[in-house]
Amino acid sequence: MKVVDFLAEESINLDLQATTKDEVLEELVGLLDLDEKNAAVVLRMLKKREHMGSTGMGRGVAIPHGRSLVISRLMVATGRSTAGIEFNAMDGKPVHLFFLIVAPPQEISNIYLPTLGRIAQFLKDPENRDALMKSESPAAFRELMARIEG
Amino acid sequence: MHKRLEQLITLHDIDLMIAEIVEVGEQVTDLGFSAPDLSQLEANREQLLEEIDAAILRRYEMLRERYGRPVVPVSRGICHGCFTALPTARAAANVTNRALVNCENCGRFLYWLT
Repeated sequence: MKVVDFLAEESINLDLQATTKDEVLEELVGLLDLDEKNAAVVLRMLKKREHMGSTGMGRGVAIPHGRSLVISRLMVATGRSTAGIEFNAMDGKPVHLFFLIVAPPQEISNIYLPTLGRIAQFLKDPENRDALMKSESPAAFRELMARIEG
Repeated sequence: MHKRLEQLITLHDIDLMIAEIVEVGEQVTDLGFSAPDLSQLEANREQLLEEIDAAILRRYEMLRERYGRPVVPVSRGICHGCFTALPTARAAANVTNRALVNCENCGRFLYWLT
């Protein structure tokens, strides 16, 4: 199972407008196919997750993630900010690439952690990060991810 | 959404996070994430407990002890805790989650997935 299988083109925003941590979480949740109430529940969960330790991994990358009862299947959304957003990342630098992963409390195929691991892994490669930063459209971004994942 | 149901879902999500840190926290830090500060989350939980009605909270904790997951989704009229079909009228009555409802079979709190 590949990350790209869970990432719809509509869930990719290559021009995030957010300038703060809370704003970017809200913008990312807005990319998921959720109604207003469920989106609010997910946003609250993600903010709590961030309060106990940032998911900003350094190198301009953050992978906010968590499970929630209001989620029925694993979903991924991604956002890019050319200017960078202050996210309390481990290296203290602004974050440019965001991958949001949300999952239900339990899944039969248990793909949540492997998905998290897969994203963390391919974003460690500077070439992959550079290429994703240069993608010109959501379709191209998605195609590139498919190539990266092989 | 019913306010008490919303509180229970938030509590449930916090309990999920706590369980995850305890169970797979090491795997997550191995991926390169900073070690999560559990005390923050526990403080959040304590704060939330003060807002929840005592009788509902007792039931939540009793169900948590018995089943692990005290709030479960309903999808296609099925309780996803015990996988029993809800009576048709009951299944249709709360699709907007305007009431706090328990499964007649297992007693878990129910949340209708939209």
